[in-house]
Amino acid sequence: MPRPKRSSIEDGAFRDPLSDYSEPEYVDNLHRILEEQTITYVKHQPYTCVDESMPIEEVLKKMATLDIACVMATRDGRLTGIFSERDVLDRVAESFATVCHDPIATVMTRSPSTIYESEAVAKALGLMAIGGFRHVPILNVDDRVIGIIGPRRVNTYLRLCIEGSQAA
Amino acid sequence: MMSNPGKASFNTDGAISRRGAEGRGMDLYQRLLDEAVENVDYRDLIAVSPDAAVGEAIKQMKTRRLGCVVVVDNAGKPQGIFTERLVVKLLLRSDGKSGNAMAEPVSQHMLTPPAIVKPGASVAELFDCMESNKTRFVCVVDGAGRASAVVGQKGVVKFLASHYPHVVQGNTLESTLNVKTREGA
Repeated sequence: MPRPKRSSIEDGAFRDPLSDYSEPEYVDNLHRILEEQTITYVKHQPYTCVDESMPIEEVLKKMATLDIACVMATRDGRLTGIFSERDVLDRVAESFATVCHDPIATVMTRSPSTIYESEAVAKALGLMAIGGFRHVPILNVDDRVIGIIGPRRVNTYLRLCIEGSQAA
Repeated sequence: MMSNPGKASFNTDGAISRRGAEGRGMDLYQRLLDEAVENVDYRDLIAVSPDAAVGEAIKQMKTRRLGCVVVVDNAGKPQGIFTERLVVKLLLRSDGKSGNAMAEPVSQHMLTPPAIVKPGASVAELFDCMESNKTRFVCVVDGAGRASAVVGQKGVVKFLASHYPHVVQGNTLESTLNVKTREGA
């Protein structure tokens, strides 16, 4: 069976594969922002990382002093878990006296959902609204933590967008 | 307390006009002004009396997976709110008696006054209420001022996301596709 002739630029059959490309259509500006702006447009700093070997009591002191709801735990600079007020309630509050000197690694939530700095705001919104995650660490291309977002930061950002104060 | 009771006040200081919101998520802006708090996901209320022990409040928060309890009086009216954040601070009490704190009445440690909103208020007002009180949770009260539910920041995120269901769902699905091997390999 003869092989079909491959088209080439020379025989005039070349067709630009992007010739029928049409720009995405957005229902409104916020829709465009959600799809096009990366998560780094949302306030994602300050954030707090601790080594996963840090004792629980020390971590709680840090959380109370900085008035923050969660810290990210790392080992050799890589994210290994997240420890939030919810974890305090679930795994620490009722047994604090016996576990206060244990490392945070024993009570943290391991392998949390993360988002890369190049991903869209929409993904973060999906992780929170559908996945139910309250805090989502942001990683760079080298898998290093560069920030964290939570509902308050996302809500404030969207509010600014809606009000038009955010450069679109 | 609500920052501007009885007024749809998403732009609290009046700086942003409706015209300014045109083309910037106008429909959503309108929804925030028009839709009532009851359209936001309510969380089941955990109500405790002022003399309930802190330990009991914590147990209930843990079992029912909610980050706060509302302290109510005999008539069911909210007197204060006790949150996860307070648990962290209690555990670290400088007198080293965090164990004893569990037996103390929750009213000694609650935040007062609690942030409250009526079900008929707009979502924009709820937004304002959360920001001005710097709180994650707001207590919903009925016509007689009795606590009936709690709304949290996550509920507001869900409300905002519900305006763009395809955008949000599509992005979440992508994130769960962790393909390890090539198709057919």
